[in-house]
Amino acid sequence: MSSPLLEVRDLRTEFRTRDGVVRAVNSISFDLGAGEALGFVGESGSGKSVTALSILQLFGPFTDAQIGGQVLYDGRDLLKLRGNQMRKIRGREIGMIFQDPLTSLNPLMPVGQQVAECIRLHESVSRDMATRRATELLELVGIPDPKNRFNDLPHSFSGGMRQRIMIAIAVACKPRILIADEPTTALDVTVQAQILLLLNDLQRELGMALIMISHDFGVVAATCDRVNVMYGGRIVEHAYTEELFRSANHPYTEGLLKLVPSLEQRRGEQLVPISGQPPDVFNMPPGCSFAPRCPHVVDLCNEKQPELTVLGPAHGSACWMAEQRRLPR
Amino acid sequence: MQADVVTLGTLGAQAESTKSVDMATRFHLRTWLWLLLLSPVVLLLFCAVLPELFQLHDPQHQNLRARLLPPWSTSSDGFHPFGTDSLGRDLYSQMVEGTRLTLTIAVVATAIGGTLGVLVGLISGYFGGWLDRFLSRLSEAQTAMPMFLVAILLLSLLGPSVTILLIVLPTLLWPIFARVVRAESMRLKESLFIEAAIAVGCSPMRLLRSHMLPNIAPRILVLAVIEVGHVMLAEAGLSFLGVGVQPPDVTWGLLIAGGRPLLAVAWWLTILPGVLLAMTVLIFNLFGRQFERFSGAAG
Repeated sequence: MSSPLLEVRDLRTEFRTRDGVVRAVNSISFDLGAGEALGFVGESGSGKSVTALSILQLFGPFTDAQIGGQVLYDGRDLLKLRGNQMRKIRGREIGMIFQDPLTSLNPLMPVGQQVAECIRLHESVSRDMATRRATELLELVGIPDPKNRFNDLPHSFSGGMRQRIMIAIAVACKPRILIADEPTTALDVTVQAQILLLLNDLQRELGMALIMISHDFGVVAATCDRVNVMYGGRIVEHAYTEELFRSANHPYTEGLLKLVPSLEQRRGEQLVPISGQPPDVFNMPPGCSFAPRCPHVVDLCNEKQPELTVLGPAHGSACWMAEQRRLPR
Repeated sequence: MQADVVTLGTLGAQAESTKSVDMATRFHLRTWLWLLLLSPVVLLLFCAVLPELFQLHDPQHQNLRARLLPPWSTSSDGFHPFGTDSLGRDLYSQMVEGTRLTLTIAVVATAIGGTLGVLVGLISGYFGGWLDRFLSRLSEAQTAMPMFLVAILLLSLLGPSVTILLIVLPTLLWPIFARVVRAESMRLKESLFIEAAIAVGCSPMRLLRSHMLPNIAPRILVLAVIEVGHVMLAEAGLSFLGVGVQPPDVTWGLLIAGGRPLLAVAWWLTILPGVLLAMTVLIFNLFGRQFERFSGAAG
């Protein structure tokens, strides 16, 4: 891997609220190579969605979000770009898909037009040309009879179909990175599989890099080459997907993996929940943010924030006990 | 087993049929209500565009021998359904004549005030922050002032004219539109499809124009229809006080004012245009509400 397509360095996102400062993302760094699929896993409030929104700076005007650090795309720092320049990145270089397909389309605009809008925003093509390409895109993402359905409003499509339309919009300008923020959470399981398959196909076909955000290890395992596990606004462990499943190091990752129900599980055998609550965003513990819930906690955990311990070529774990917990191969 | 299926089947069919009957009656009721409300509006529009079609006499034609005739009487000029005024002019024809200016002023003033209010509301709702605080205080300050009195002051200082009226009435109106649109756009900007539109690279202007505005438009339309009625009342009030429209132009408010000194002798000169004005405002109100229900059900 030569110079990566996207390098995130020391990204910090804070929200100033009346009750204090919320550090939603707390100094995270990662790389994304061209054509690579990277997963982010973590529970609600772990900062994975905010990470995605920070990359594209999708916080409304006058929202008191402070984004620090560097987001280097092709060597350019996106955080230094202003309005106009950033708009050229959004949709054209980096596309995004959202969690809830039922509300992420404009209810009063024909779906085909919404796809065409994205094309016309970024490329100087005629209306006819944009319409033709939008129809092709709808076909590409598997909308049956796209010509006739071009002028239909979103409400006449099912959730899965709407998510396909969202994907068509996101890939309309052949972006080099596609960010999918929990793209299948609101869909039922059979549709989920179809959408994931579609995303992987498109990724290969268009040579896009994919950032897949999910709370579901299964989704990430099915789609991603590498995984970042997030907790309390930090990356607590990162590894190749297979390696993570084989030898998870961080106690939090371990806990999450135990929560994936499997068919081999015997009836009556219980899933082991991670006890306790996610940390209070206004009052983060001074040491490891997982320490209060960790079954293997030692004194040091409550005092100092652990750094990532390198365990392999692409495997790191932010735990004081990382070396000791390393599984013998 | 078989019996069960049959029972379920018939039950289903029964439910279906009662439902369709329900739908049919409801459709009829709704259609009739629409026609009932729509026909007077259309009639008024026709009066405004082609008054000659409805007038029995030239509204400015005077006949001193046929002064102050009560409704339903006949003079040498012909039949006067609503009577005549102190110069023997036909009241009915004058009322028809007044429709044009009354409606024009109301619609144009609402359009100007509405456009202004919608712009302010969209901007302050979407951008928020200090801009929103400034614009909101401005509209609150204006709502707090007795604007009708300010309008009278302005009109008497600048001299009464239709143009001035079309400047003064919209300033009364815009805060109402701004408040509604601001609330709607604050709600809308949180919705995912707006965020998604930003994520594909929409500029703020494009966002407001092609994503926010169409989704607020039904509310604006309802409000505008209702406000047209209110503006008619305001214009009538100002004309009644002598600071609005001036003769020889005719509006309903002016007719009411003209009849006032003669109220004891010739009640019809005040009451009949008054009833027309009240009915029209009521119709516009009902029309607006009905439209609101309709668009709410459809969306």
